[in-house]
Parts: sequence; structure tokens; C-alpha cells
Amino acid sequence: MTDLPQLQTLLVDAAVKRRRRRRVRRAAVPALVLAAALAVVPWVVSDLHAPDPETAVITPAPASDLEAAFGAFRAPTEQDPPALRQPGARVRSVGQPGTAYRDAYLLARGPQLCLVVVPNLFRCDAAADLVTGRKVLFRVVEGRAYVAFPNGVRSVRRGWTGFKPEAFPVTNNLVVFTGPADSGRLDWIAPDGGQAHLVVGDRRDPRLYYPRLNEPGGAADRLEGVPGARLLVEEGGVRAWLVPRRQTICLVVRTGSGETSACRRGDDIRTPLVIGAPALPQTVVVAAFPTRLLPLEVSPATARSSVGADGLLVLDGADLQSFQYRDTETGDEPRVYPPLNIDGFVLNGSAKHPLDYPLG
Amino acid sequence: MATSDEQLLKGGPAAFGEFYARHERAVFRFFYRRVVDAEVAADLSAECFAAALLGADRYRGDDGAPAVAWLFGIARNVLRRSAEQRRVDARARARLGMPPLVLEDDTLAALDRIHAGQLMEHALTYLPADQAEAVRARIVDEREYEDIARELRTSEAVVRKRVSRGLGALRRRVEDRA
Repeated sequence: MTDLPQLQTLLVDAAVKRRRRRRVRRAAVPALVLAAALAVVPWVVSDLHAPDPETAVITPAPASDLEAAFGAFRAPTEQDPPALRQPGARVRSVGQPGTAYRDAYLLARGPQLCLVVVPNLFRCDAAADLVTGRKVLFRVVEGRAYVAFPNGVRSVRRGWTGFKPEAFPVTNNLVVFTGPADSGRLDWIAPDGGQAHLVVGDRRDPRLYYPRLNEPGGAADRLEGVPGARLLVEEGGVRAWLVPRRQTICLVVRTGSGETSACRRGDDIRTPLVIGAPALPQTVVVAAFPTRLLPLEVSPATARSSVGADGLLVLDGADLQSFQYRDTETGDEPRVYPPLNIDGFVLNGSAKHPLDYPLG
Repeated sequence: MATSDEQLLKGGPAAFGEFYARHERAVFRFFYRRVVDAEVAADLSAECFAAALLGADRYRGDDGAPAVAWLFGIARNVLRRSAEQRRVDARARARLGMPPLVLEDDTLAALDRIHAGQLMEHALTYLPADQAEAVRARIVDEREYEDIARELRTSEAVVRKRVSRGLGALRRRVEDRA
């Protein structure tokens, strides 16, 4: 039940009409193409059996067994690498022929499923967990990460220290990408539609949680004496930077009145890091959000503010009553109420400077 | 497991209706806080969801950005365009051929009650707990002083003083920001 059922009805009706119109349009065009093609090249008829693009494959339901989840397995043969020729084992090639990557296989033995990167590098886990797609087999070999996913996982997003965030398609149950033995995080949509992720390396590395830190630095990012800084927000003469230190994230805010900074553990990601920095004519408020949190709105709306994906800057900080964000893991939408009548403050961190911590 | 927003966006008309139901209050509240008018907020919500329906085909969740972020991005654009035009933007509804919303007074009053009540709750967070409790009981719930005093196990005079101080603090806050 909604507060505005009339609007829900109007939207559903509009969606139905829109779908009908699209179907009519799509049906008309192939009919014309078919007529022309049949006259000139009869063999294209076989292509007419291609799946109808209108029938969207959203995400299949979780597979109940290994083959349903990953595809057909076979018995190992004499041509397979020796590591695969195990009694009772079943194998499936997930390599990508024609690439520079090493060959890779999935090997099922008993209740376990293993990712084998030839000649004999194994990573195994319980098959029952792996078919869900929420847990995956991951192995770094010679600076390349090999990750096996079940059917239904279409792409994976890589957030890796020193690399710009990037999405990779899953091909034949496998993704291979450059991933040196630093810290990294992978995010994907599991076959049941839920969000899933894997963190490897140093879990406190702030670069796992603040993708802005992995973007290439430019002139605007420069903060004297503090390497690795990235400009977070800038408006009205106020600039704020994110600074990574060892297992620590810092936020530095510069106004016409001076500099204020705050730091906290890199993996403290349940709340935004907030600074109220003294400025004229009034305090400015800056908040940095890890990827898990999404800034939503500032109250009152009349307070001059700039809301981005990773940060929030309120120039009229004295007018600010609160701001709201969404925790994408819990679905909660907490509200932060900055303290009143205080010129400078730090919330969810310590009033420290990046140079108080060792370089990461 | 509950269907994700991303699946609802790609799942056809009924699924879009569910997507709407899931986010209706949050989007309405987003607009209501800015315009403090249930009718205008409802119109803005209608335009926002119509634009979301038009853009649902193009939505891609592959980059990890949740659908709700995408939806609130649309809400901000609708608000900005409406402010620039000085009237509620209706281009998405026009493209869909959606008739205008006709809202009964009762519906508008109910929306005002829900969301103005939330604004009041928000204001009460600025008061000490004892004053907030007294103001809520007397002003929001319209209860008698005697009744409140009995529940709080104090005298009527104390409750009156808390309400008076609470309202005074809220008034000063409003005046300071005017």
C-alpha cells in the first residue's frame, strides 16, 4: 500500500503502454529486414532463431548443483595437465584460449570445487558455498588475478590500490585482470540479485573504500608535503582533500581562515568523516563518504551545498541542521546533526593531521 | 530473498510499480522537505518516477552504483529544472502521456500529516529529551497536561514549564535562522 496509489497506477499504466509501443516498433523493423534478407541472402534465416532481445535475462535463480551453476564438467583425459588427472575428479576448462593468460580449470572433487591455474596452483573451497556466487575462488599468479564465478554473474567491478576502478565482463566463468599482491576489492551482483564483494590484502587500506584515491592525480589534487592526496570537493574558495596514510584515511579542509584536518582508521566505513571548519562569513562543513555510504540530502535545502558521490560540502555551515545518507549495505538512511554554535569540530574521527601517521 | 531494485527496474510494469512503492516515501520526503507543500511534492514525485520509467532501459547497475542513487540523481535534476522554470517540470509525464495527478483534499491532508509530522520530529531532536517529550505529548499528540503529568510522574507545573521552554527554544532557533 502506498500513500499515493493513484500515482502508482498511472506509472504502471504508462509502463504497460510503453512496453506495447516498443514491441510494435521492434516487431515492425525485423519484418522489413526479413523480407529484404529472404530475397537476397537466404542463409540469414538461421539468425532469426537468435533470442528475442525483449526477453530480458535478468538473473537466473541460484543453481542447485555444480553443473547448473557452472556448466558441464567432464572426466579428465590424458591430454589434461597432470594436476587435473585425479581419481573421481571432474573438470571444466575456464581458460581463455588465444590470450596471454595461463590456462585455468575448475576441478570438482568430493564436496570441494577448485580453481586450478596450470600447471598446479590450486585454490579450493566448499562447492555448496561457491554455487551461490556470493563466495568465489580467487588466486593471484604472476601479478594476474584469476577469479571464477558461476553463471549469472555478468561482470565484476575491480577497486584495487593504484588502479582506477573498472568493470570486467565475466567470460566462461572466469575473469583475469592485472592485480598485484596489494589490497583490492571486487564487487559483483550474485545470481540471486544480491550485492556481493571480496576484499583481499590489507583490509584497513583506505584505497579499498575511497575510489577517488585510486584515480590518477592531477594539478588540482596537489597538497604540499602530502603525497597521494586527491581533491574531494571544491567550491566558494573552500577545498577539501582525501589523504591516504598507512591503514588510515584523512580529510583536510582549507578555507580562507586556515586548515583543519581529521583522520581515522581506513576500514572505519560505517559513518562519514565530518569536519566543521572555521571560515568567514560562517563555518563550512565537509563530509567524506566511503563507497558503502551515499550522501542523499542537506537540510535545510536553502543552505548552499554541493553533494557528490564521495563528498559533501556545505558553505552555509551555520545554517546546516542536518544531512542524510544511505547505508547501501543495511538500507538505513541515518541523519547527521552537526553540533550547534561551534566553529570547528570533527565527527567520526580524530582531529589529527595526515603527517601524524606513516605513509601508506 | 527480496528482489533488488536493479531487478525491479528491468522487470516490466508490475515490477516498476513495486520499485515505486519501495521508494515513494523517500522521494516524496525529499521533495516535501524542500517545498513543504504536499501537492507540489506529489507533482514533483510523479515527474521523478516518470523520468525514472523513461530511463529504466538505460540504467546499468554494472558499475556498482545502487539504483537508489540513480533515482535521487533524477530527483535532484527534476527539482533543479523545476526551480529554473518556476513551475513543476512535466516533460517526462508528457512523453509518457500520463494524465495529471488529481489529489483529493483528504489525500493531501494525510500526506501533510505524515510528512509534516516527520518535520516536527526532526525539530524536536534539537531539544533536550524531557522538553521534546513534553512538546510531543502536548503539541503533536494534543494531550491534556494532567494526563501527561501522570504518565511522566511529575506535576502539571513541571510539564507546562518543559513545554514552554521547548517551544521557546524552537522559536529562537527559527528566529535565529530567519
